[in-house]
Amino acid sequence: MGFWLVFFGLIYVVILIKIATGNYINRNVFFGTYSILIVLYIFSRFLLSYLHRSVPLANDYEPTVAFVVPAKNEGENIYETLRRFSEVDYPGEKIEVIAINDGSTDTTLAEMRRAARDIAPRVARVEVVDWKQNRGKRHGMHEGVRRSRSEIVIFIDSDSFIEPSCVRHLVKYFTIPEIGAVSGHTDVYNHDENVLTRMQALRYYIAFKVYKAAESIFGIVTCCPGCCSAYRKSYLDEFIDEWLHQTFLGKECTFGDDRSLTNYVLRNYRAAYSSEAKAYTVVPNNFKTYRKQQQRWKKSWVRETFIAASFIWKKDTVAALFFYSYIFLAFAAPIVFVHAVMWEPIFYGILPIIYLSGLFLMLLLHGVYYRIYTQDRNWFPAVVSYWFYTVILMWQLPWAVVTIADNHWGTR
Amino acid sequence: MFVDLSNKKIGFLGIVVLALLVVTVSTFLIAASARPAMHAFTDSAQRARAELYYLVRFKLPEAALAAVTGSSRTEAQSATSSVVSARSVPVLLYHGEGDSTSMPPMRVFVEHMRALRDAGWHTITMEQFKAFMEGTGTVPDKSFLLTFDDGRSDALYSADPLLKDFGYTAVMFVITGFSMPGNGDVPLNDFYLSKSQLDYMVKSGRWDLESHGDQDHLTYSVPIATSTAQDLTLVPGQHFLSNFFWLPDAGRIETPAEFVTRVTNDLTAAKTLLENNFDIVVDGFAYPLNDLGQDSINAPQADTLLSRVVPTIYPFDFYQTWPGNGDFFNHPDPDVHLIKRIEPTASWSSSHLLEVLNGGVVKSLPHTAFTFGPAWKSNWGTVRPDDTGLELSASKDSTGASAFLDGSGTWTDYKMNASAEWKYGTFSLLARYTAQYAPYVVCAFSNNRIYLERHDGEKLETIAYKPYAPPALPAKADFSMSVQGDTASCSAYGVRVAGSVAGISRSGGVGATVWTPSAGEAQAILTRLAVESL
Repeated sequence: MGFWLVFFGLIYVVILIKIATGNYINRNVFFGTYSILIVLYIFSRFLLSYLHRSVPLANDYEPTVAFVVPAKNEGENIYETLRRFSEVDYPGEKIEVIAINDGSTDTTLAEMRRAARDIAPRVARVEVVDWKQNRGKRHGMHEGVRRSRSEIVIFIDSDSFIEPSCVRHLVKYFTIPEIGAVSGHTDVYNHDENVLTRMQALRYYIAFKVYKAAESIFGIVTCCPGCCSAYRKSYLDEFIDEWLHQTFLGKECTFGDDRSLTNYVLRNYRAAYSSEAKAYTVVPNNFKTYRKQQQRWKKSWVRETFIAASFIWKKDTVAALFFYSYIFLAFAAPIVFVHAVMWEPIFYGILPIIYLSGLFLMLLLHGVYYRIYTQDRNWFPAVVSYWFYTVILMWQLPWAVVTIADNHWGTR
Repeated sequence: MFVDLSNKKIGFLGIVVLALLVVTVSTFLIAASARPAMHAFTDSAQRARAELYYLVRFKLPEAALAAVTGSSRTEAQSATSSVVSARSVPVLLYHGEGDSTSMPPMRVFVEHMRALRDAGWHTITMEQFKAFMEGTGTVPDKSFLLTFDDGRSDALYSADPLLKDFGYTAVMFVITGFSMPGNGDVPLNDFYLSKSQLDYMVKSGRWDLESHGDQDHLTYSVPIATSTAQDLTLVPGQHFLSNFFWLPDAGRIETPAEFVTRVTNDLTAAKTLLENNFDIVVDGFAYPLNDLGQDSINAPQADTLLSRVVPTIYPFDFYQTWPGNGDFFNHPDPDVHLIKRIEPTASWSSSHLLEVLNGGVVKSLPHTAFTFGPAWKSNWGTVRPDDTGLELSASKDSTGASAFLDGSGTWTDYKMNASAEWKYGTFSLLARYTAQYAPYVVCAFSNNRIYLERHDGEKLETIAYKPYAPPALPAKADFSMSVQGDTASCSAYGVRVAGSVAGISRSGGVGATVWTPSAGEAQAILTRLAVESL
């Protein structure tokens, strides 16, 4: 209750500040619009996620499911990832497991085979595909779909673990024929490791619970992530080969596979978010890996947003308005940042106090929400580092635009 | 698609929205009633910010630079502060934070003030200025009066830390109708200084408050001169001080007496408000919009009326001029109430500002020049002063060029001997020059005649002329001119033309002009000028 008061208190403070500095919009339309729109957008996320309706469990609907796990050098986690498939609350005879060893140089293959032996009695079929040469995650996902005989394909990252109830909560959305993909809710497994992973735990939680839920209202979840998402196989078959060889600016796409696959689904079908379908994933625990991962995600975001922008207006007017607003906000953010943190202090002597504290307030709002639902006592350092990383990684989006044609992974 | 609009959810949202609305609205209601307190709070925050900004952006870099170069400004300063008294004092005008195109932003203002300080210039207070002008007190050489117009809060924030740092003082011309409408505590908006801020300024000892009028910085719709109740034409956007207003109840235009009453009331109100609120004496008035009555559309006599009314309320009235428009320094004279100011713009480098001020320092007679510096100010055509002479040449689209010697405006009776490389066109010497639109005396030397003329704005009156025989052009030539009392004379090559110049100011400076009827041709180089008292 106390934190709910803090939550609405923050909204109140933000509204006060916006009204008190309202004349700013008259001075500069661009910065004024940004300032109003960013707040409306974020408030709208919380509002829409609150209004998100979950689908009831359908116990008489039990389609066959295939877990597809492409992995490279995941010897440490892959056994646990696969083992959990045998413990899910779902009829074993309807479960298929396809693990693809994508040219690993460690014990991944051996761990896969060990897991396959251990879980084989409790599932319908286990298949371990072994590639000596690394082909890339997209090829692995494609191979899994190709080899699967099930109605639903569930992609699980090799460093992600699912809860037993996850499958039923993913599957229940497929009772609606229009649904082509469902994103599960993924939390951070190693959140207690350090302040960076704690911060990512906050980001993951909000990104799913608030932002994906808000998108899900319209059935337009723009990214069903690879860590835990389900797709309808019959729809995947329509475009999976085209997707494998997707090109952008004349080059074959090598990352952002999940976002692009969702995009293919969204063209003709819809995608939902199931907050009850829980999974956990291991996140980078050092800044360098984190920065590279974020940079890769930004690039694929730019590419896939560009593609989605071309058709999303046909699907739903309100959702499209939010979608285009967000594009404006994302691209305006670095400009606003430079304006507030460099331009104004240097040329006008205006310190970026309002900007930085405004940013902090908004992130604090997310942090309080996270605290309310997760009871995580370490939420505040997570907010502070979220704020810190937002500021120092602000350049990533413009850099992603500049280097969009360069499709090296940059990690691993 | 997956939206839950159940009564429970909508009801909860409704309560939240309503609660937020109520709380927000009541916050603003409370804030409105507590606005003076809020204002005091934001003001102190802004002042602290301004102090910090000045320290970080200007003071510390300067100190760091001084530490690195090992130079100590305090010594330089004490070395230049002289015991010599100033003979004339310039008044500088700023407004507040500007941009790079017109009014100087803070960065330029600080550069200007640093350059002045480093060159030994220093500010004086309004009281010192008053005593100096009235001849009852002296001020040290290189004194100037620093003024700000409009009572803007950004002027306080950007200038006050510097004043504190430099030990400078400044004058703020306050628009009482904007800063304390209805004698209230709250300004029209936060752009203008509030009563509490003005009070702080007075108590700081760094600021003198003077008047910029009460309601006369606004513009009004005024009738054209021929307006009657039946045929009324109102022209919007006109000035308070220079026009007769329409009296709707009486259905007629103001009489001059009513105009005088209206102006008197406004000027007195501004003065009284400032004096009573801050327990100060207000001696100065700055003409809003620099309109001394000249911008009238229906009252040609407004300037005369104003020049009679204003001095009865304020001992000093300030107007704006510019370098080149006669002397812009102010000379002590108990009879003078009109004070000249110049406004440095954002494009003025600090060295240009120094040149302007140094050029304007009053010069004594006899004055002999073989080299020509920046004190020679152009007001027409192309003027290039250098070590060998003063080049005057018509620019592409002007028919001539003209220059004036800054700091010569106090000269009264004198004789000028000039030598020139006379290339093409009529060469003229100017005397008793005070301003571009005030009458002055001209000796014009054409290729066959010498003219003694009186120039007054666009009007030109030939007082006398005689034929003479100068050498064929181009040639090195010598001319002379003298003014004494109400007479003036011009002479060259054995011919002398003389006549009366009654009605022209008894004091005024010297200048030179070259001219032809068609553009781009006139050219001459003044190579020597010797002026001696008569």
